[in-house]
Amino acid sequence: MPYSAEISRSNPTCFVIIMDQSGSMADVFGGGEGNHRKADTLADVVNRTLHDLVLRCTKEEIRNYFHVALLGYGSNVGSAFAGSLAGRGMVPISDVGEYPARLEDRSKKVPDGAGGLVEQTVRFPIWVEPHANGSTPMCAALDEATSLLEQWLREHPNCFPPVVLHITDGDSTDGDPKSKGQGIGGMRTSDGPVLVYNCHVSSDRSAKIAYPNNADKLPNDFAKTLFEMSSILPSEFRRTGAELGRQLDEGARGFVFNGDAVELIQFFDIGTRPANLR
Amino acid sequence: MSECEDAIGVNLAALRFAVTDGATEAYGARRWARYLATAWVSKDACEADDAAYAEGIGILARRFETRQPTGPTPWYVEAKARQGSFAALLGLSIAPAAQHWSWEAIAIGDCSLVHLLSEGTQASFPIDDPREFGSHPAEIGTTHFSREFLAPILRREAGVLCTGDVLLLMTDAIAQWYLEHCKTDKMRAGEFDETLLSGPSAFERLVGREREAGRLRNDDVAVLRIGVDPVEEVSPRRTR
Repeated sequence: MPYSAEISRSNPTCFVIIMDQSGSMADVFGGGEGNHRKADTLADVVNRTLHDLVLRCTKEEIRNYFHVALLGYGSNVGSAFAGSLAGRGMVPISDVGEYPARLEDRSKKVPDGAGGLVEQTVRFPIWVEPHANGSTPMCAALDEATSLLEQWLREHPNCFPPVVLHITDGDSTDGDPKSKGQGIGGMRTSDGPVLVYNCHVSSDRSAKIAYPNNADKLPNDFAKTLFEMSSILPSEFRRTGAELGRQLDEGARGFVFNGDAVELIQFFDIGTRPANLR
Repeated sequence: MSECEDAIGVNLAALRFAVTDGATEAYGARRWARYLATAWVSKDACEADDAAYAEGIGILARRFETRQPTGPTPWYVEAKARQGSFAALLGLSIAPAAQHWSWEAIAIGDCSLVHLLSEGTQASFPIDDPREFGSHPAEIGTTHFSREFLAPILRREAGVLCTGDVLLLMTDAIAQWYLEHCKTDKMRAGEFDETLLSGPSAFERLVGREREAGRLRNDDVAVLRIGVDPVEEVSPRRTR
């Protein structure tokens, strides 16, 4: 049965996060509602996701169940890690945990054990800063991801299939990305094909479409392209969706169109929670 | 073995026994699992009623937290410790009596008790269907121990022990395997019992073989076998 491989230190899996960092990511979500720039929210969600991935692998030390690649595209294409991880491709999660670019103080409510909450100042790690510059060289970013995954799959032919999470707010400016996205989704391990999930975030007030199982209601060719680049969610990921209060149909694709900030957060939650750690 | 996050507690004098299963993704899970097992058999966390049990767990959780590493700690250790630790528990106490001895058990989560009756039937608690084992069992947390939290997930059961009976206390993976392969197959159940009586090496071989065949999940396993011999003395045997 595909997507059943155990994730262990001897057989880790990887996540590839591809972030649109083009100029339009400086716009706010939802046609001006609120003050959240897409680039700021995306950087925050990615930092939270990396934080959570590190904690999932932490016992007293960090165990390398996962490796993570963080790619950005805009005025530059390549590693989006800041600080001492800058320029690195696939990074073991222990290095992600050890080397954030900086730690900032945040206020957090934590359980007091008796059903209440107390406020504490906690250190929060930052790996990626918001960027919004240049055009949208999506194809170049997908080429970069392909190259990283080819090497990963040569070294880990039996791992739980890697998950690619791609976030964009606009059409590619360096060609049609469909074949490149489908090419990644066609790569595989003995446990199944690589999973490619695409989340389109929007400055418009257009209706969002989340995890469709067909392209009938998609508004334009760009949406259809992203749909066709997106993998069908395996049952494990649909179960995670259900735990988050989201009923996902059989055949649902890992694809969101016109997503807002809330949708973006859930997209990462669903995409990064395979449960079979050992 | 050093990374095993299952634990066993045995107090022969008090006839109290426990198996616990530390949550895979939790901080200090092995230590918390041991705390819970030790507390059960030493009566530090008492089963008298839900409120008393919650109070005992609260004291234990504070003791767990005060024994965290001191000095500068990496952000991830600090954050993980803040999330707390979690474990499932099966606790058993046996009470001698002139005629038949009795047992009482509590369970939080999916560690399971199988009672093999000398007459050949068997009963299991709290799970009797292998399909009920999931990846999100109820657990006792160092940050979740109030009576309101524990009461809905704490299960209780009691029974009578007769000469020739056997009690098996098992953590989830091996309990699921047992219910799937031995519950309705007397020959297989007998072979499993023989394996337990043969000692740890035989048990390790069985676990390796069943994992290799894909019948047993690759998870930590702990089994505690308690047999009632013909003179009604309870002899615990520990196998991991």
